[in-house]
Amino acid sequence: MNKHQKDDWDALFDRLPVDTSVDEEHGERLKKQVLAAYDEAHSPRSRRLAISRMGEFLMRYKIPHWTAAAIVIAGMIWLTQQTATPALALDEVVDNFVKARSARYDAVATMTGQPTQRMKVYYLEPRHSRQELEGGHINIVDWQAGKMVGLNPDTKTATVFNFVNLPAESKAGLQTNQFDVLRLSLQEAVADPNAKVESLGEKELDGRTVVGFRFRQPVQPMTLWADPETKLPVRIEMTMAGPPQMQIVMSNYEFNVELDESLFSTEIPEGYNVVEAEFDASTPTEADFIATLTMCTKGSNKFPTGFDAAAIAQYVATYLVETYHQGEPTAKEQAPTADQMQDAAKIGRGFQFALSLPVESDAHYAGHGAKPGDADQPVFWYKPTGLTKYRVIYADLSIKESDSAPEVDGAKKLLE
Amino acid sequence: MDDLVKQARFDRDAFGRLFDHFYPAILAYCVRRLLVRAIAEDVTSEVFLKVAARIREFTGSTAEDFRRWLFRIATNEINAHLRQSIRRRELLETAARMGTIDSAVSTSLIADDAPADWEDIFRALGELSDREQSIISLRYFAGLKHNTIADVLGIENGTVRVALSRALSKLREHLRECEQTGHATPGDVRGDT
Repeated sequence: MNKHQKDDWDALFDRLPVDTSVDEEHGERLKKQVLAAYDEAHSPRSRRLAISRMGEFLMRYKIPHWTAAAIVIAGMIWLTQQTATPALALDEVVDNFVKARSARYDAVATMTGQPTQRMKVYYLEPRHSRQELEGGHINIVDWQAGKMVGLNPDTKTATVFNFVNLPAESKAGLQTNQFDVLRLSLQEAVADPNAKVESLGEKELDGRTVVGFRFRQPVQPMTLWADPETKLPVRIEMTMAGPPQMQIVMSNYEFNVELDESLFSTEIPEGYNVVEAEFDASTPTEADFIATLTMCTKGSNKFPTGFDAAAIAQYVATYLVETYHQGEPTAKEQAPTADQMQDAAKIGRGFQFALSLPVESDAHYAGHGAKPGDADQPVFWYKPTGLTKYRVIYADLSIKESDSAPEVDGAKKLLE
Repeated sequence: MDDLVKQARFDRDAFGRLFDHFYPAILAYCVRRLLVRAIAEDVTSEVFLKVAARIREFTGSTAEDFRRWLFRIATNEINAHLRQSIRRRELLETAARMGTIDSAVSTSLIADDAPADWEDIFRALGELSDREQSIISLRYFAGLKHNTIADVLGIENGTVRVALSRALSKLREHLRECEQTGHATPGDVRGDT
């Protein structure tokens, strides 16, 4: 195309006879709607369990190691539900953190009474991540390709989750890994004038002077130690309130390092058996939640003991053991089957619905100890956005609408 | 403006100011591409409602990042609307009925200063692939530069130049065919429904 033609196209489209002026009435009306949607999305402590987090947990889940899985899923929920908190002196540190094109660091997750989970994490823009877990298991996430791959060198098994029904813009917009989620949280914290950040001053860490900041969040406090010379984080410690309490420590940060793109390849190495499943990435519904409870109660004949991350992880593990192994422990190196992975994906979707409800929904859980099939025992209730009546789910998984919330001893509100 | 983008994740007023700033550009983009104002306003509404719901998930830090994100969502929404040929046909019929595109424009792109019919131009545009339509729309209806289009669509800068050139060549060919054989039937060429 020569310049003359290029100019002609410019000239042609410049003369398009449409009125693009703003209709003020539409603009004002839309602004009200948009701000209402903004308010809904920002409801206090709205817990939004990122699909990728649940999928990441599900992908690496090994039946005999549910405790490790519990740690990971709890950490994922922790990472995605935390709210903002700020600091002025942090601006530059967080800005550098946000602008990092790549990173490499160590992460250690511990939960009271459970084994410690250690991993090496790699991040490369745009949104590629890789986790190398102790024991050799590798997770690679390519959100834009809609794929998560887990490689187990012990069993030579590759577990692959393919996301389906993923909105196109989500591929670019969602936080897809621990590193991006953490960056966003810190970015918000620095920018929020109402957040509380405490300066911890200087200390020596691994032979160098670092400056600390504590983010005073009611449920999940976080401490960041930064190098005053590089103005980058060197260690971040996060604690999730229990029980059980869980801590994640990220350290030995290296930023803007050269990382070979092959590290993030989702190609399956030669010699690996591939176990593949789909993960529906569309917004989960109440029907998904009911399907999850149906599957789980059929397998385990009980409801989860609670609705925290550890309780859900344990519950899912129990379900899989009961369903696929008749309750018998399995070999450590046993790989999940495609059916197990598909089941786990479906289960995750259901719990995701419940965990994503906003605080205004007044969601409560009362299933601990409830007998599956009991038509008179409410186990879960919530108020859908914009509606006045409660949706009450009973232990027989029937649903009734009610003007008021049921009164059940031991019922726990999902979000305070 | 960069500060406003950073604040908008948690500050309602900042988000409202971002809306005020970007609303005219997104509306104009939708109107130029969709021709019928009511439909363009509906699609614009969808764009900003999605942005409001997902602003916390937006990971950029500058106004330019936000602008690219907005246009990416807008382009996807427009394409989704136009993907059904029946909608493209109805859109053109409505625009023609309302007199929006019943005029001709003189251009040397088909033949020396031959008049082109806007209805034919939009029909021909509708026969290109989603990506080709997106590139032409972002370039000529949104006025974005090649590098910005590349970022919006997640492709290489050089790819945009080549793809734009090819898309315009195809568009010109379709227009010439229209001139020689009469009006094209929208939706038939791509075979979608």
